[in-house]
Amino acid sequence: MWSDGKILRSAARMMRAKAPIQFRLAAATLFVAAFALSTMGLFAWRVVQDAKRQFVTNTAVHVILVNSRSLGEQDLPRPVQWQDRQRIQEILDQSLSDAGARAWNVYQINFGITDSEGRADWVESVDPGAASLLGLAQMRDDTAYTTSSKASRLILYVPVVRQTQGGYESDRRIPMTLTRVEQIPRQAPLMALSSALNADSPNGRPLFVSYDAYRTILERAFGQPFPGVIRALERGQDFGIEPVASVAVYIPHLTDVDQVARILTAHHYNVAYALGAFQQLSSTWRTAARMAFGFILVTVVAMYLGAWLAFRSDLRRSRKDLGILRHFGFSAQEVARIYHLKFRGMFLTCAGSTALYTLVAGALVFRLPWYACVVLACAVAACVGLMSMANASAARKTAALHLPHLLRFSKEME
Amino acid sequence: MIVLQEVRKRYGEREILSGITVTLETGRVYAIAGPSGSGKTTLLQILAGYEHPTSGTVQARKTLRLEYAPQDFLLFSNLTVWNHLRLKAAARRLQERWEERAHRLLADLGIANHCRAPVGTLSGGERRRLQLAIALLPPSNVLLLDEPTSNLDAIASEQVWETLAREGAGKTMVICSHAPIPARLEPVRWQLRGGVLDVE
Repeated sequence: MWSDGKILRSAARMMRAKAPIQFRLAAATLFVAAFALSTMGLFAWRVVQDAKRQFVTNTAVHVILVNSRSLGEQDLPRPVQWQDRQRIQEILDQSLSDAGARAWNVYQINFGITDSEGRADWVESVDPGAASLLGLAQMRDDTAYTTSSKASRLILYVPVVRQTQGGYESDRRIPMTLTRVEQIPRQAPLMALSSALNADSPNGRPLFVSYDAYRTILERAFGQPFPGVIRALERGQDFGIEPVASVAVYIPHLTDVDQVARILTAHHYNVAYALGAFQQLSSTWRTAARMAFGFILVTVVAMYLGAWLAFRSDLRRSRKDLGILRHFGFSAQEVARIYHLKFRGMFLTCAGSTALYTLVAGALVFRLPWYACVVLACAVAACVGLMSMANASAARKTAALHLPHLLRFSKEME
Repeated sequence: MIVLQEVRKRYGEREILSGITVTLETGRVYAIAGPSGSGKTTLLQILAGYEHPTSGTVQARKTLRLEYAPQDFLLFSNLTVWNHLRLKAAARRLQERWEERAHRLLADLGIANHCRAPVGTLSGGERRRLQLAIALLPPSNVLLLDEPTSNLDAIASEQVWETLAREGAGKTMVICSHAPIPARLEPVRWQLRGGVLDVE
């Protein structure tokens, strides 16, 4: 007893056995196109991920460090001062308010402070809310942040500074206990931008504390409340220290970094930033991304067009075969189905193998996250599926042609 | 019964059939002769439903089962003789015992020993007989045969006429042929000339 499915599958098997070279060529082209699409997709995703890691999500490239200001060609640059942060913020708010740039002070104490490990620490700090500059979520007041210490707690011996006629001296120290010690990641933005902050040696090292802890140290060292110290500094009183080491400007969007740097430079500020080495990075980046995307798109379209044309060529050559099947008594729908069944298995194999390849290569070779591999595998399989559907549709249209037209069209007389 | 009324067929400026009106009685054999290009094949294609008349009508019962063996070979060169019969059986949804009938037809037509041979290796005469076997395999009411003995020698032709006399019994047969059709088929002989059908 014949069942319709069995009949059509059986007929399709017979048709497959007589597949001409055009069909084999079309199949080979499809496999190459599918694997190329998969590889290009994996490669593009990898490049985007690397770019994100290196640029977009890497805070270091979003930060501009302002160290000094040059007021005239003859004058030496002067270090940034207490008022500069506010001035820089105002300049950026006026000139490029859309950029959403934020300026924070990086503080320092110019003299070394001995600690319980016997090392001299160059104490530094940042404004409240700027912990991300150190790669931290927040900073605690009882914690010392270093790149090197293995101690679980530290005692800082803060010198009490006295002004004398000859300068500054200290003969008394006040211990200040920091009950916790945490590591600063070496790739933290400030560490990446300033080599001085990485200058760790057996004799001394940078040691970060919270802003409040920094204030406490200055209060203990100079024996007066912090606002008093600041007012005195603003009046120009010399305490023997320059509390502001630099101003760090954070720019959320990478494409604005160049412009912010240019604005600051135009206002005589001397800047250092990771992207400074790249000329016109944002436009170069955009152009390169567009070109790469365009190239991939053109290549993929060309490959799929090639496969599609190869299948259309096979279908055109198969017109007489379709006509003969109709002459045998199959309906136009059945003939289209037979032709579809002839290549369906091959399309399934292609979709399956490229999806598997995408998953394996994506995970093992391109080191992409699993969801990226799954998305790409589905996309490649969908592309193959779409082509299969397009071919089935073309086969339906061809099989429904007027029978003498089908039979006459073939150049092949069997 | 098939009724043709004022059937005309025109290809561009050229009129192939010029208003043919005939009635094909059930169970009769019609032998249509005529010079090449006189429209015999076109007439069969219109009867088979492959072509539509430019004007006029063809009336037949919708349940009529019709098989057409054209003059051109409509075969797959890579498939074997047996696979062609399998395809035909599948297309016509033939039930059990069709294989037995297929073997007998191949034997009657003298090509039983080519069962497993690809069609590409067959001679013109063998292909002609295979095409006939394919048309004769399923049950039918009407057989339309275009030059059924071309490419065949006298012995093979005799095998074909004998098979047609047996298999075509009770069926309406329309045979277009340059070769003479044996009298034992008791054909109604028509001559197609200049697009007009004349009874001889």
